Amino acid sequence: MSRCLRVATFAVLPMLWWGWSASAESLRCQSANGNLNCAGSGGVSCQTVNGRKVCISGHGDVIQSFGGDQSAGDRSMDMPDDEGLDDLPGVRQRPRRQAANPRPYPDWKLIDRE
Amino acid sequence: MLRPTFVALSLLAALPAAAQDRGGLRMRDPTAVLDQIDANRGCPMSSTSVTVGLNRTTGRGSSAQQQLATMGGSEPSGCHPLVSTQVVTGANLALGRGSSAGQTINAQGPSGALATTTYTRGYNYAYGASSRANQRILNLTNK
Repeated sequence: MSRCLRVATFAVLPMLWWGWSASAESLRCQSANGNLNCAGSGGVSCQTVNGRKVCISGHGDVIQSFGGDQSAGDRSMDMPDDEGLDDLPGVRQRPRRQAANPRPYPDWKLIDRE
Repeated sequence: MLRPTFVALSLLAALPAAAQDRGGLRMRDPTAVLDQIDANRGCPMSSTSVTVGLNRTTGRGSSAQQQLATMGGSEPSGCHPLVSTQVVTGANLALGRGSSAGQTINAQGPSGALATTTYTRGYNYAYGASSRANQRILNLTNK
């Protein structure tokens, strides 16, 4: 419940900030370990937290994650910086979703913005 | 009559003892841990760092980059905190149409801590149409 509330709160804040009304568009958000990553229409959002990189597209057609441990929460770790991670040959690359589906995962939120 | 009472009392006494065995500091080498605590006399016992970043773009086609870093090790010479807590949170918002927002936050805790707690939260939004948001957060501990 509190997680949903937090997601909703941080989704509404930019809308209040922006202030003007736009045409009906959507904001797609993904939450992983409490970290929130959102992309609006035509936008691309990439987030790297402790070596785990997640990229999403507002169209919902590109969702990729690189490296890291999906089950890792907050913990002590000694992890090298992942600068240039995408270019390393041995890096695990997991395209998780490449089809247009507004809610491919349970932790996805689709928020209409007017 | 006395026997069941005695058994029940023994169980009640054993339960708190078992609870105390969980949690706390896992001591692989108790001597080394005690030595480390002893060597920390006169030094701060704990260290806490909080790093918060907010980066946003609002104008059409605008761009904003933010870099923050917090490094541990500000303790007096020879001191190592026994407990370290690191909190890192960042918000990166690309609100304008076609805007680009980038945020990098690096936090590194002090070395030699017996126990470290890290808390990391990132909020990354590419809200504007055709906008780009890129956020990188590292919350690490020194061993």
